[in-house]
Parts: sequence; C-alpha cells; structure tokens
Amino acid sequence: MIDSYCYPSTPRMPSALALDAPAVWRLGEVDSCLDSAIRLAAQGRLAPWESVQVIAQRQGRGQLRRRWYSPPGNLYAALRLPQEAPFSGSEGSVVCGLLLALGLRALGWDTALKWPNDIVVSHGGQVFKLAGLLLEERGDCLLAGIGINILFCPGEEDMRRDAAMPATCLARLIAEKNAVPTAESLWRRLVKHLLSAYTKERFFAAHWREEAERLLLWRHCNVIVDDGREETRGRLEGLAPDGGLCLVCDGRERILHGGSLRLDQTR
Amino acid sequence: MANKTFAEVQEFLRGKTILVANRGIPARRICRSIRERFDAVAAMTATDVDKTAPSASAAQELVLLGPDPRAYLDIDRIIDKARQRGVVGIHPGWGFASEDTRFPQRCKEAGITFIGATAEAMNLLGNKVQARAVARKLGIPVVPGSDGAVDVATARKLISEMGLPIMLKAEGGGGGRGIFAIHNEAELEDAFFKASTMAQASFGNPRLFVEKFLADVRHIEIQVIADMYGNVFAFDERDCTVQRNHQKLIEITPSPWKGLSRNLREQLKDYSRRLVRAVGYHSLATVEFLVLPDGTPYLIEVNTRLQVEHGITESRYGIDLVEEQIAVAFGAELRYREENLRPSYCAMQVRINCENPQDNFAPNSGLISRYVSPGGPGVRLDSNICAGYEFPANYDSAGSLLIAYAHDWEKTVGIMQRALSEYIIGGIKTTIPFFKQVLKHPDFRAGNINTNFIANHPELMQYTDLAPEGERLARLVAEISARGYNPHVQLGVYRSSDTPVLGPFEPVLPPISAAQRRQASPYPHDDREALLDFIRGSGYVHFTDTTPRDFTQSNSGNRFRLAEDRLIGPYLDNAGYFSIENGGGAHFHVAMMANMTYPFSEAREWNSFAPKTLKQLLVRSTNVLGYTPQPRNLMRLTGEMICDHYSVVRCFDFLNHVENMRPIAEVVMDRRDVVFEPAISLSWAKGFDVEHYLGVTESFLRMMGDIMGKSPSEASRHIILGLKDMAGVCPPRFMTELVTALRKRWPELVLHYHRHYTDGLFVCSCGAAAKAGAHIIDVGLGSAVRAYGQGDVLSTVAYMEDELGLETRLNKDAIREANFVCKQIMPYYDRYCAPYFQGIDYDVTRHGMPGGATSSSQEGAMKQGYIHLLPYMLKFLEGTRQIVRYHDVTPGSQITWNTAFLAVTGAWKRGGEDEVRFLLEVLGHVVRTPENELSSEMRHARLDLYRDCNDAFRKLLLGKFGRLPLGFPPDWVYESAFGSEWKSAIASRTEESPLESLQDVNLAAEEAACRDLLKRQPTQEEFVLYLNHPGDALKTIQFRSTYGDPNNLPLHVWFEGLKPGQNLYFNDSKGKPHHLSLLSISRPNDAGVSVCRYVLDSEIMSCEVQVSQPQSVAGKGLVKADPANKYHVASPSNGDLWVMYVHPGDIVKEGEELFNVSIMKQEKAVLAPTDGIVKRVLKTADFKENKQMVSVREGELIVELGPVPRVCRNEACGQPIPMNNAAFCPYCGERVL
Repeated sequence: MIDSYCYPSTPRMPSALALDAPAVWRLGEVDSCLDSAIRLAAQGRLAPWESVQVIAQRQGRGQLRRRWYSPPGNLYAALRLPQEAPFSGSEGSVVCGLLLALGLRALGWDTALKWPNDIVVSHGGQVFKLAGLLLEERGDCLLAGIGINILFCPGEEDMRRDAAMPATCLARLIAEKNAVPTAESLWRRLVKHLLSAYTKERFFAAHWREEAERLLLWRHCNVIVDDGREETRGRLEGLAPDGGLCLVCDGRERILHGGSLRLDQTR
Repeated sequence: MANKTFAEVQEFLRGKTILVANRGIPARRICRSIRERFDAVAAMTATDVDKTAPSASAAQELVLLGPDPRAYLDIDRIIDKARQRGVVGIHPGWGFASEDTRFPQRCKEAGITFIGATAEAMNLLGNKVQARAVARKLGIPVVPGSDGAVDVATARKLISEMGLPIMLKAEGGGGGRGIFAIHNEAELEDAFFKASTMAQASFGNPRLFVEKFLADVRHIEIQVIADMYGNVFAFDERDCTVQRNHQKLIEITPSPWKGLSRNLREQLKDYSRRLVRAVGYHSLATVEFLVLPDGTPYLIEVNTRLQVEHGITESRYGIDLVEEQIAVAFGAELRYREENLRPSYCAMQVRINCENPQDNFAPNSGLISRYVSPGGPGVRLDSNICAGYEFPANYDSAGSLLIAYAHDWEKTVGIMQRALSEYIIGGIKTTIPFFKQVLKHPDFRAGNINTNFIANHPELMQYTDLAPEGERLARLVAEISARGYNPHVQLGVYRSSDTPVLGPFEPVLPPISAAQRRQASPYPHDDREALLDFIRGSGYVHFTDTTPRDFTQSNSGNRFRLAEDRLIGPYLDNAGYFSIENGGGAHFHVAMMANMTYPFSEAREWNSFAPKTLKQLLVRSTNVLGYTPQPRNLMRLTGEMICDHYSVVRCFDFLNHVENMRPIAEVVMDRRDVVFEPAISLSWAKGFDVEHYLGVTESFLRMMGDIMGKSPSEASRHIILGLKDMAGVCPPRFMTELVTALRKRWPELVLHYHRHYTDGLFVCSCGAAAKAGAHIIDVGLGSAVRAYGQGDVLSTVAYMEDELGLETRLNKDAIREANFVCKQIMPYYDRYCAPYFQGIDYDVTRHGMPGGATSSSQEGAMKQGYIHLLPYMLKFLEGTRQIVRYHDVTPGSQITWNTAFLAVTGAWKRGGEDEVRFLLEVLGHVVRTPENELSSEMRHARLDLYRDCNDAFRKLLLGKFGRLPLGFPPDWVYESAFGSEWKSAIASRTEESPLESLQDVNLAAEEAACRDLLKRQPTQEEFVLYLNHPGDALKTIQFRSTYGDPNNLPLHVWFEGLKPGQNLYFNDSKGKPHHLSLLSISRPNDAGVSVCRYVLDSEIMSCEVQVSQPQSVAGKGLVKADPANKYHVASPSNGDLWVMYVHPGDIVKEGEELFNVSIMKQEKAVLAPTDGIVKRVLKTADFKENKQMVSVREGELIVELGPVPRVCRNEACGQPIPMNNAAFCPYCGERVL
C-alpha cells in the first residue's frame, strides 16, 4: 500500500486573462477524498475551484453512502465549487455532470450524461458507466466528489443488483496501453477544462440546459425512474430548469427529482 | 427632414405594445410612464413567482416566463415572446439583463426598439476600462489605476507605483458587486483569485482591473439624457454617499454637502456631457464620480441605463425621465433645454429594503401582514409590496423607494422623517427603523459624511423595532383566540376554541370613598424600630394578608396576575392589615415563567395602587429568590433591590440552619426602613418540640445579635420571628405551648404566625397562637380560600373576637368589598389553574407534604402511572420523616417526596406490590423498634430503604444543604444510600453553610452576556431577573417585545381569548384606548394553521396561528419552518431525506450534522444552526437500514431545536434538565445549578 503523503501542487494564481488551473492537493491513500476536502476547506485551505486528488480510498463513497470501488489507478477527486448559481441550486448536480462530460469530450472521450450526473460511454453497441459524481454540501462548502474509472472498474458481481448498466474503464476503451492517461495528468487537464467550460460562455447559468440536453443519454427513449417507492415509466424529453428530469407519461409531462434511471426495454 | 417630435412618437406608439423586461419596482415604474402619455399598451414579463405580484397590476399585459425564477436573464426567450406579441419596444429596466450588450443587439436583429443604449455605446461606456480610456482622451480625471484588466504581477507593480490600499474591480461589475479592497500586499493573490472567480460567476467575465482605494470620498453622480440629434442635457448632481458595502442606501439631490460648489457642479456636468457626446450616445446615462474633500473629482464609471435613484432627479425638476427616454429611443428630439428646464426642489430617496439591518442587513422574505403607506405633501412612493403579499426570496430585497421633496433640505429631511414614521410594513423586517436612525444623525443632517458613514457608525444599528403595543397585544389576543388556550400560562392545552367559555370578565368594583382613601395606616413606615414598638405596645392582634402570594401560590399555582392585583389591591389597602405578602417564593419565578410580568415592576405598582400597607416578601435562605444557593455578591444585588420594594423580608431555611440566612440578614439589617423576619420552619413530630424550637430561636437571635453587635436578647427587640407551619400540621395545643414559651423567654420578641389550611385546623390553631401572644397572624380573603393556602380572615377574626375575646382592628367592610371583587375573579382561576387534587387532607400530619406540594406530587405519580402506589408512598413519607429529620418545605419537601417515590417505585419494579409491602413493613419495624432490639435480618433488610435514593438526598445526608436540625441520621442510612462508599461518605460530612464555599459571580461578564442576548443594555431590574432565572427572564423580556404587557388584557381574554364577533376595549401601557373586534377564525388548514382576522381601531388585520399538528399528506400539510426562528431547522431544498442522525432529547452542538437531504445526487448535510436540544423530529429516515427515503420540501420544518437546557452537572448523568422542573435533576436527583 502506498504511504500517505501530502503536498499541494505549486499553487499558481490565475492571470486575469486566462484562468490557469487552480491548486490541487494530492494525497496518497485516504479514508475518503471528500472527507479530506471537507477538512481542508474547514481549515480555509481549499478555495472554490481548488481540489483534492487522492491515489486510493479506503472508504470511498457514492451517493447515500454507497461504497465506491476505489483501488489505486483510478481517479478520485473532490472539487470545491463556488456556492453560486448554477451550482448552489438543485440543478448543480446535473451542471457538474455536464461540465465533467464536456471536459472528457474535450479530451477525446465520447461521453454522454446519464441523468442526473453519471458519465457514460458507448462501446461496442453497449452503454457503460465510466465515471460518477456526487455533490455534498456542508455549511458553506459545496464539493463535487468525482470518480473516474481509468485502469479498473468493478465487475458485474461487485455492482449493485439494480444497477442500470455495467461499468467500464478508460483502459478497456483503447487499444494501446501506453495511451491511457494517469490519474494525475487526467485530473490536471480536466480541472482546466471544467473551469474553462464554465467560464467560456457568459451567463452560463442561463444556458447550461441546452448543452446538457444535447448530451443527455436516452433522450426521447422510454425509460423507468425508480425512486424506491414507485416506478415511473415514460419518454425522456429533457431537463427542467431545476435539473429535474422531464418525462412524458401517458401524454402528460412530469418532472422527477429523484430515483435511478434505466432504459425501459419492455416497450 | 426635420427631427421627429415627441408628438410624432406619441402618435406612433398609440395602441402599440411596449414590453418591460423586468419585474418589481422598475417594471411598475416604467409601465406607469408607458400608459400616462403614450397611450401605449404596457406589457411586463413575469415568472410564475411574480405573475400575481403587486407590481404586475401596473401592466395591461403579462408575458409569462414560466417557473424558472431566473428567466428574466433569458434574453432570447424574451425577445421571441415579444416578437410573437408584436411588441415595438423593450425597456430593460435596471438589474437583470439591462446591461447585457447582447440585449440591444438581439432587439435590433428582431426589429424591436431597445429603450436604452446601443450595444456599441454600452461597450464603450458601460465597460469600465473602456470608459476610462475615453475619459482620459477627453481630459476627464479618473481614479488612478490600471488601464485595463490586469494579472497579479501587474497589480503588484501598480501597488508599488500608487501605494496601498487599492481595489480590485470586476470589469463587468456594477452596483457595488465584484469589488475587493486590498490593504496589504500579502492579501493580493488570494483576493485576486476570489474576486476573479466571483466576477466570473456574477458577470460571466473574470477580468479584473485595479483602482486606487480612496478613503475619504463622496459619491456624486450626474444624470444625463441625450437624443439621436446630438442634444444632451445634464441634470444637477445626485449625492449617493450613504452606502453600505458600495450599495447605495440614500440618494439626495442636490448634494447637501457644503463642498459641492456651483463651479464643481458645472464642471461635473460638463465632463458628463462631453463623455456622452464623444461616443454618440443617445438615451439615459449616469456618470459617477468620487469627490475628495477638497472638491477634486474622479470619474469611476458610467451606467448606461435607467437607475434606481432616477426618481429624485424627476422630483427635483418635475419631469418624467422614463417618458423622455422612451421618446428618445423612438427618435424624438429631446424636449429639455437649459433655458426651459430649471430645478425647483430638493429631493431625497431612501431604499426600503426587506432586510434586517441588525442582522447584517440579511434579506428576509415572507408574508407582509400589515401595510400602511405614507402620504401627504412632498412624498412619492414607488413600491412593490402590499398587505398580504408573500415577499419572495428569489429576488433582491427591494421593497419600495420612498422619496421626499421640498424647497429646502431641512424641510426635505422633516418630510422624510415624518413619512418614515407613517410607513408601516408588518410581518418582515425592513430598513425603515434604520433610516430613522440615519436621519436623526447630526453628521447626516449637516451633509458632513463620506462613503464610510454607515460602516463608521455602528450605533445606527442600536434601535428597538417594535410595532405599537396595541397592535402587538391584538395579535396576542388573536393567537389565544385561535388556539382557545394561552400557551404562555404553561398550563398545557386546557381548552380548545370551541370549549364553552366563562364569558367576559366585567367586574363590578364598589367605589372607595375619598375619606377612606385618605384614612392613614396606623403602622409607622420607613422606621423599623418605631414599627416594632408600635406592634409590641398595641395590645391587639395584627394580620398579614397573603392573598396575592402564598394563598394563590398554593391554590392556583401563582397564576394570579398583576392585572387582578390592581383590582383587589386598593380594597386590601384599606383593610388595616399590618402587611400584604405580595412577593417572593415561587411567585417571583412564575411571574416570569407564566405571567410574563417583571416581579419588581409588579411590586412597584403595588406600592402605588396600595400605598398605605407595608409589603412583605418571602426569601429562601441561601437561594433568596432562586432555586440554587446564591453567591454573596449576587445575594447583595438581589437583596438591595428587594429592600427597595418591600418593607418586611421573611426568610426561612428548611433546615433552620441560621447561617444560611446570614448574608440576606446582613443586607436587610443594613437598612433602617426594612424589617427582617427570620422564620422557623415548623414540623410537629418527635424531637421537634418546644424545647427544640427554643434552641433554634436562641441560635437565630445569637446570629442577629452578632450582625447587629448586640446581645441575643437585645436583638430580639429588632426583628420579627416568623413561625412557619408550611404544611399546616401543628395542632392548637402545640401552638399554645410554643408561643407561650417563646413569649416567656423573649417578651420583647414580636411573633408572626403563618400556617396552611391543609389539616383543616387553621382557625383554631391561629386562635391558639394569638391567644398565647403571637402578635401577627397570616390570613387571606375567604372568597379565595381553597384547601392548601391560608384560611379566611373574617372567620379567624370572628373566632378570636367572639370565642377568645381578643381584640382586632381590621376594617371588615373593606375586606367584604375586597371579597366581593375577588369572588368575581376566582371562577376563572378555579376553572383553569386549580390544583389537580383538592380538599383537606388531615393525613398531612403524618406524611408532612406541604399544601401545594401534596397536590403536585400526587399529580406527578398519577401521570407517571403510579397512582396505585400512592398510598405506599405516603406511608413511606410518614416513616422516613422519623429517620432523616428535617422540615418539609422547599427544597426539603421535594427531596422527601423524591426519596419516597423512588423507593416505592424501585421496590415495585423489583418485585411488585409484595416487595413494596415488604419494604414498608421493614420501614415500620425500623421506626418502631429500638436499635438494640433489631434482628440481624432486619438490619440487613433496612439497607433497601434508600438504595434507590437520588443525589439530592445523598447531598442532604452529607450536609451539603446545611446542618440537619436534629443531627445526622444513623450510620445504616449512609450504608443504604451510599452502598460500599458509605464510610467515606460519613467521613466527608460537613456542618458548614454551603455559602462558605461559594465563589462570587462575575457580574460584568454576566451583564455582557445578557446584553448580547438582548442586543441592548438590560435595565437594572432585567439584569437582576436574568441573574436569578436566566431562561425565564429572557422569555419574559422577549414576550414583552413581541406582545407588550399582558396585564393590559382582561382576565377572560388571557385564558380564553375572544369568540368571533366579540369586541374588546383595552388600554395600552400608555393609557391609549383600543378597540379590537374579532372577525373570524378559519378552520385550520392541512398544515394546522388557522387564519385569524380582526379589526383593530378600524384597520383590518390578520395573522396565521399554528393551532394543531399538521396532517401529513404528501406534499400538503407541511409545517413550514419559521426562518426567523434559529431553532427551526428546515429542509434546504426539495428532495429526499435519507438519513436522520438525531432523536428528540439529543443535545447538539452548533455545526453538528442533523440530517441529510439528497436531490439528484446532491447531498446536503444540514447542520445545527446553534447549540440546542432536539425538541421534535418531524420526519426521519435511515436509508442504509431500510432503503426508504422520505420526501421533503424546501423550507419544511424537519427538526425543531430548543434552547440548550441546563445539563445535569453530575457527570455520570449528564441529562438535560427541563426548564420548568428547576430544582433537581429528574434523572438522578442531583441538585441543579
């Protein structure tokens, strides 16, 4: 196991004309990248757009404290977001997924966005989950926990029984092994893309929706949203301004804000 | 071709639609102009939140933008909709997209006239860097700084050139946002990054430029308007120096500052005209300058839009700038010329924002419950609110713009002050009271300020923002009426709104003749020695009336109010009593806990409506008026205040340990006008015999002599000795014996006998005491006599006079009149406050529980499901009193009761009733049998008697309350109570007074804490109340500011409220009459909220009252958290509650995670906003355990906290102590600090 070590990468302040990559804390193996980031933020050492990247997590978590498969070799990062629109609203989660998908697309991976914010890729006619994202808000600190499968992904047996799709990793998607990026280099480039995608367009806050709908997986397909209490079936039409999922069910539009999404193969 | 005229534009626009792409105040303002002269159709954009807002009423058509509250920024959508409607022009207002250069561009593409600057002009003037460049070219001075956006290195270089401080400003910013001041270079990098990120997020442009930070400046701006033909008109300056964080609060034209000379005005106007001309601008613009004290101006920026403060320029000139702006946009030639438009008025605008200045100007939203707008000469109001409007949280906090105008500055200020005092906005906090402070400030009035005026004068935030008392009391009445009961009296839900009422309390008050009023009291006042001499030499029996205190404490839990005291007091004052006991004991605490009355203010009123009779108060030795021993300095402070309001101070100690009374005795004996009355706590039992009490008296007199520097027998001339039979157990024969012995031993000692009715032998015992020579007897009004207080005065007097041949000199007619008034009062107290168990209990002579405690302890047993064990508990009391010997009065009575309760219920839990019976057999045997005759089995069995006792009992055994009157109990009691620790317990016993080891309290620190809590300086009385009962004192202070003085409401309203259709006439504390008529109380909605409507002095008002628990239907019936209540923890957004970490009763620290809400993979940890105890958890979930989540809505109350209760100081226990159960920990019995 790699010893824990900890140093901030050289902090470089953004110049006024082009925002350079903000500081990244790189840590070794930790319990949870998000928890490390919370601690740093509490000490005033993690400003918005600064992030923590770790090599591995002993207790990596996905939503609702589900386990996140976290061996060394994949990317685990926690990015502090400004607590402002669109991140502060309920749409923040989708917007973050959009930024991550846009970032990966800019790096050449043909990713799509599965509502609300899973990053998926299509490979050999099948859709795989590549990355996951979880926003955690704690007091005035808003963090995006980001996990991207680079070298490894959980096998079918490790996935939740009700998972919507199998997982994959970047290494499986490309032939040449040496073209697989390291987590460090990938994150460095991603942070820059995230920030520039966000800053590129004036009034991003008002325009993210069109972008997100463009990348939305299963748009205009029949889907099922299961929130643990009931299953809602309908045609996925797009996104609501608050990030909700617009479904047309029996000719009537419904907006859903929770539940897991899967393709309805019965119709 | 000639230039287009205004009339031609009018003709063109007639019947056409102009859209205002904005909301709120600007939208309403602009719609007004569209309709007034152009006869055009005023259309307004509106999101769902705004479509029924007051401002929308100004529009003839609405362009609906749907649910997204940010849709006002969506230019493309707005233009699409405008095109569909055939809109000819769009006015962007201010804020939102008004400075987005794409807006005029897209309008142009769509063939719609944009009523504002062109994109090019916006780019040139609206961009600060560009504007500076233009200004420099024209020779207009600008604030030293960078010529364009900079990076950190350039900024550092500029700092070395210009010096610190500097400002980082967002290139795209405005309205005071995106500005960071840098005072030392080390902050630069960090601030730069923050400012850049914020600029990106706020304005979509991360670029920053640098400006010299000017410390002492005024903000002066020039309004200009230009047409397409090169005509430019510059108006006189607006002074916007009153700012907070660069946000303007007050604007004035012309500037009241002496330094703004005619030359400077002309210079600024000239700069502005040249700047606008240079870029070929046509529309409204504002050129902003900072002006140094010497009059040097610097251009800072140009606003290419209509501004919030345009109204004062309109008021100065009597024009409509918006109308002119519209005309100019459609090509009309400007109508204003220097020769035909002259300024006539002085004008000032204040921005009425829905913000709480005392909470750092935090915005607040919610229902506007009352709205009265100002009017009269010289007032203009542009508002966005009305009564009943739910002010939304989605937008800025601007509520209205209030303008005053007049010929000169002084009159303008006068009109504004008057308008602010007329302006009422209820239900939410606004900046109105803050502006009242600003307008009073001499620097402001003298025009002698700079932009730091608000920041440098924090005293402007020191004000009390209270609605008039009549309005507050009316709300209290409405709340009681809707609920049907009054939660403040702390008697639970004692009725509902449809329970039959007792009806209006309209007392008939017999007149008191002037002669009677003038009849002086025979008792010397303000001279202790003269008073005691008078009593000794009088030869007749004297009386104290206890109706307002001990009487009603025992019979109605102290709920008897000052309001009713005011009615009875004047009659009692004429009865010829020695004294009236009207304060102290639990009455002092309950005044605050339930009657919302300041006890010393109450005493002051008593001294005014019943001035002739001496007033008497009861203190509890070490604890004075509280429940814990008071340090000496606090005791002195409280004692002084007592002596200022009362003439007789009776003091008792449940152990008769006289040293416990020493500090308070010293305070009282320091005064010549107050009598000290140490009272012997009396029990009637083996060992507590006449001889014993003579010894106690001897010890009292020894200490009093010590304090006075006199012999004990000399001391007996200077005090009154109280004989306090608090349970009502001493039979007449015993009193005869005791009083006779005391009189014989100390013939000069004045005796004052006090006993309760509990055993039913009140009259004959008092008679016996008086016959034997007791000087003063406690009695009360017969109409208020119930089982547990004192007995009736008239029957006692009749017995003494007719049966015993004693003389009394009471005015019986005055007593009859007092009785008549009291008879009318008592039904209300009997119905709502009477004790649970009532009636005479002769068995008190066995179990010894005093009056009020008998009933309340038995009620406790019943409610905890142990009523079947009550006979055993009483039996245990009877037994244990013979083993551990002390007197059953506070706090001893609670200790005894708890010991019995715990022993009996403990035995019952171990082995049911058989075990209980066995325990009592053991107890009986141990009490009856001499030690040397006890079998070894019995010696072993008796160790069970105190095995379940609590810490209070153990402390008593250790002597922590003081010396036990008959010495420590036998060792086996320690073995039983302390188990294996019993030997060390015995070794650690003490006979010292607990006061010996008490540290003084830090009064300065306590006062600071109190001031912090109140946000103002407490009065001396408030501070003393706070030191004695912090929680309940704060509660009363808070209640008073919320509702006013409840003693202004009649009795029936206090308990029952009103029925719809009923009227109430009441006076407020200043004596101003009010009329309240209750119109209706709606049925509670699903959320359990009733709307109560009423008329107060001709104005219709309403309030919402939570009358019942909400019905939980999905999405409906939610309890909304009160955003103003820091103990209400709401869901931060709609979503799913998936984990709840706390349970009712948990103690939480500020910042601790309470629960977590998930929405679309965004997890929001909701943290405790403050330290507290969890009172309610309205929804709960444990997803990991049961895979269930619960839907929650934004703003829904999820957890309700309460103030951190005191925590039991016994570390092993650590349980929270409920506020009203004050004396002992209910879990371990530890005495609560």
